[in-house]
Amino acid sequence: MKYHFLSKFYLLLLLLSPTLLFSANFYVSSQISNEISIFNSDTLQIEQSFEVPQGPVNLLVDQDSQAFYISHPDKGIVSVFDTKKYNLLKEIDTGGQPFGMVLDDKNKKLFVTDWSRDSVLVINTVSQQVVDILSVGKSPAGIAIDTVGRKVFIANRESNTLTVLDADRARLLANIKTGDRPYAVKFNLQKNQIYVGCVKGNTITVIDADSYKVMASLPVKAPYDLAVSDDGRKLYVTSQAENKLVVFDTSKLHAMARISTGKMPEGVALSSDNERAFVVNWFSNSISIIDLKRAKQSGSIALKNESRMIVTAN
Amino acid sequence: MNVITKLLAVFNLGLSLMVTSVWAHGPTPQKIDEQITINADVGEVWDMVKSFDAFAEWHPAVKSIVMTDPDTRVVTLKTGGEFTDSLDEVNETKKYIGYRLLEENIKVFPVSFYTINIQVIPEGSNSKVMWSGRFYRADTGNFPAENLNDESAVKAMKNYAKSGLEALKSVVEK
Repeated sequence: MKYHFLSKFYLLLLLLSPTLLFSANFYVSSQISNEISIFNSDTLQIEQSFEVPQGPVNLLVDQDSQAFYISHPDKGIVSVFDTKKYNLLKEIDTGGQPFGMVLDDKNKKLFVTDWSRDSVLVINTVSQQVVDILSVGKSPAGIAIDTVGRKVFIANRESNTLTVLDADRARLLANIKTGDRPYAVKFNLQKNQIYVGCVKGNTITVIDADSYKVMASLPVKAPYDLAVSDDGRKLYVTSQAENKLVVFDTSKLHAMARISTGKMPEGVALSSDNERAFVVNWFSNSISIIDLKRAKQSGSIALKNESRMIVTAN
Repeated sequence: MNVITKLLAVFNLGLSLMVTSVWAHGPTPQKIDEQITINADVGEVWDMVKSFDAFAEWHPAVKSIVMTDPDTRVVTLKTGGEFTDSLDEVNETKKYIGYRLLEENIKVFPVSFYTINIQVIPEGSNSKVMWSGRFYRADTGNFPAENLNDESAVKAMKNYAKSGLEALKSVVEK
């Protein structure tokens, strides 16, 4: 009897396992509702929401320690949640306006930009304490890391520069001129390229991560967030002024497609198979599901008020 | 040449800085979503709305517009003071115009940055005009004075949109 029940149970589990295995969740921040929504890209539903401290913006998942970090610039804290039950583990009182975050797996450190103090905060992810504060350019916003080349890239919005720091010790490697008002940054490991979205300049500054030379200036109106495909061949940019997701070929460095989204898009994330993009539309309160093969929006999911950023939970 | 300065001492003193930053994206962006129905054909309304250089002809708060290049206008307010807008898009098909604040003037308009778009859509034989805005308060630090906070920014943007839409309606329906 018991055996019979169990075998049925396993059969059921087996049938469900593809969805269990590939079930892909994404976290979406709503700065005005103080909430994180969990979006399931298989069921295309918001599975759950949980309350967080005031004004969540940027999100980061540390898989090793199963911790979920949220920056709260309006409150001067970085909050830490566990990724299982979403309990608040800690509020790290950073002061200033912590904003962009990037994880250094190797050294168990989190680099956080603080635009009101023109610096980068270093948080030890084991002790969850601020252990260092490094001076960079004016109003640093976006941040990215080259975990192989051991470099950290910071967009200094009001200096119109990109700061390159040594990821292992407090050392400045370069200061590179970008377009007007650099904001988001992404690093492409395969192509060794750095992308800097310049919100006022309406360009993506493409920089070679070895020579620090500017390779191209790609036109996008009010670029907001960036994503790079796993194979490094494509760059995706949300354009807040065009209401589009713009797709670039990273070899030819030109636009391949401009796909309509909802109104005033912000964050973008890719599905694990890279066949879809999920764009958070700040004004429309929705996620656009973008079919990247067909280069078009295939659906839209309603969201909480004024959602901003999206990251994969897996 | 050690450009990186360790600021631990400063950090330990705690937070005492208040920085107003232009084009800041840190504090919570604010939203307005205003609309009005106008008893006129979509084309007629769109003709008024689409002219980036003719804003003063219908917006009651605007005294004059001076174009500094085809995509840039200096807006002078009737109450005094000026700021500059930069045009992003005029879409004839969607009857949509989008622009943003290029140079702010928080003394006369308590917003450090905005994007505004206006769209005209048919509503039966009439038109619906939708005025959307995304913007940041004048002081983007965490301790803004009352006249530079989110509430002041929302109030200013809301009035600007509402009075504009109402005047547009009366000009077109006249």
